[in-house]
Amino acid sequence: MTRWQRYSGILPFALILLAWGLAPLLADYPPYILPSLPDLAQRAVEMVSDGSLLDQTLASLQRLALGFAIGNLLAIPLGLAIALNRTASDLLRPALTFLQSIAGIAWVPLAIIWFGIGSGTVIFVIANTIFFATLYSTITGVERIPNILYRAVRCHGGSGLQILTQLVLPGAFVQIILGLRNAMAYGWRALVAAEMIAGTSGLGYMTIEAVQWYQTATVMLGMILIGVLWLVLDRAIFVPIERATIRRWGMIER
Amino acid sequence: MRRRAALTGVLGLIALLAAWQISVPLVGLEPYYYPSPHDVALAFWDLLRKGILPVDIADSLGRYGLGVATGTVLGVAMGLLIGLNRAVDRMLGPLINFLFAIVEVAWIPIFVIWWGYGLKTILVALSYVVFFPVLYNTILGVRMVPQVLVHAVRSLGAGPRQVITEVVLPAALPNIITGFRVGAGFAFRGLVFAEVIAAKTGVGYLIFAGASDHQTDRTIVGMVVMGAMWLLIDTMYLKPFERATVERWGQVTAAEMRE
Amino acid sequence: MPRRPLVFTALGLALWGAFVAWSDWSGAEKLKQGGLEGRNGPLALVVTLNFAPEAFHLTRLQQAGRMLGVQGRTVRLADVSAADARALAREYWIGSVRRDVP
Repeated sequence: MTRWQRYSGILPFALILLAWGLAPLLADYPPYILPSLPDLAQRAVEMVSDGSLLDQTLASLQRLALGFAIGNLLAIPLGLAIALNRTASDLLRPALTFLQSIAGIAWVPLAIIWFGIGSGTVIFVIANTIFFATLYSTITGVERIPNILYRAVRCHGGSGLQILTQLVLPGAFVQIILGLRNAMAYGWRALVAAEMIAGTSGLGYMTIEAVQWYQTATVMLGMILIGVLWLVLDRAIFVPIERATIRRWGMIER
Repeated sequence: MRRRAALTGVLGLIALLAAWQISVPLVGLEPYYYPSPHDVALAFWDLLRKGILPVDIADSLGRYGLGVATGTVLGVAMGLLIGLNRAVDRMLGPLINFLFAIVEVAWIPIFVIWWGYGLKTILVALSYVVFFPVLYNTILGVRMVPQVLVHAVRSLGAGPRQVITEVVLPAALPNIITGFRVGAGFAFRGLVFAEVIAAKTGVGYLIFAGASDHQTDRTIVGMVVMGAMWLLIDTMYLKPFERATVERWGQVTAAEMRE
Repeated sequence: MPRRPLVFTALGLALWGAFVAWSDWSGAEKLKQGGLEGRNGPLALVVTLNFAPEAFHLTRLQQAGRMLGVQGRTVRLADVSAADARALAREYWIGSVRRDVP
């Protein structure tokens, strides 16, 4: 590959930054449409130095962690139960499929009525979103286990509990882990959206509040941070987990 | 066997509704906190007879359709460009990945600053959400087109446009449809969020207005209608198209290869 | 081309078409009963709903003309064009549309 080919990907970024930097000189527009690069940098320094950035980030992450935990702790056992029990599956699947299509933001008003504006609502919406996402992937994961393996375990005198721990859990493990990663992506979106609508602190709240005051620099920094944080969480948490478990055990090929 | 499962499913739904209805007097909260299925049914009829619900559904569907269509067209176009041209891929790839990382939810505030509240903002947000799944799946589909077919058609004298319309697009269609289905799902969820922030009508708006007007039963009507709308869209349009292309084109490709 | 979307769309279009036709007919009827058939120019109307109007309806009515007053289920509008009057009459939640005599 020539050097041009390898680095051509930087060109769009460079052009955008160039246009951005020159824009105030070339055109006439109010500063809230597009803050100048120096303004942006200055605002960034302000937010870091007065600690507000860290506070908001931690607030958001706390809620994500809580919602993630609650949603998954409820979804995985329920998913296992539904996937393993034909009656439970037939009874509950239609209702759950229906509820899954409205998972997340549609519950915000109800949550506000129950929990008021603030963390309670945000955590509920996150847990709700993650619950349905993980439920689906857990059920799928268990359903993918070939029936014949169940018979094999029983042939060898395996009890119900052993089927669960030696067959089902390891068998569905890959799908569940992938599902967790997916669920976190959905959960992150739900976090930001819920904070924007019903939050009192956090990155989402900070970003949407700034709109009212036309503080576009804050909005942009919030946007970028939301994106970067998701990438960091995704790569820092799930890639190592996948590498340590799935890839090592050779269960999937990428 | 499947009929029995379906019947049990219906039974399950009825049982849940009954449990809900019975729990209302037991929980003892006012309808504002905990409406009963009966309240919700009454509210549904009320909204229908007052002409509010049809307009909300129509507005939401209109926005949804426009946004999905725009995002899909742009996604397929860009997907073809990137998938077929290595140079473009290398140049635009990083930028697109970067934009994708900034979750669509995070873009809404800046969209509001630029375009205010209203249809434009909603359409841009919806198109954005649909664009990326369609784009990535189109690229995947385009890359998977067997080069044998492209060369064969070229050797028969086909120009670049014909190669695209008669070989690449049909071959990539299953992947495109899959991307479309994923994008359509994201867009539907995004529709509610966008309507809350930037609209005055629509099912998402209904869900929120109901709560702020202390009409929780209307909120739940909105949620139920939303779920029903998605079920209809998915079972009547998305699933059939996905099934049709994946089945049909899968076979055609294999048959062509054998020749 | 899969069959289910086609059938569903066809059914939907048929139902919608029937609804539009019925709306047109009932709208013309309402105008006739209100003595507004064939009238042009800015009209003053008394619009009666089948229920007490909500914000949604008031907004819709204000798009058609200047709102002079709301009393119970009736709304008085002024400066309504003939086209807007026809559009209002077609709405099924509007009971009657009559000439307003100030």
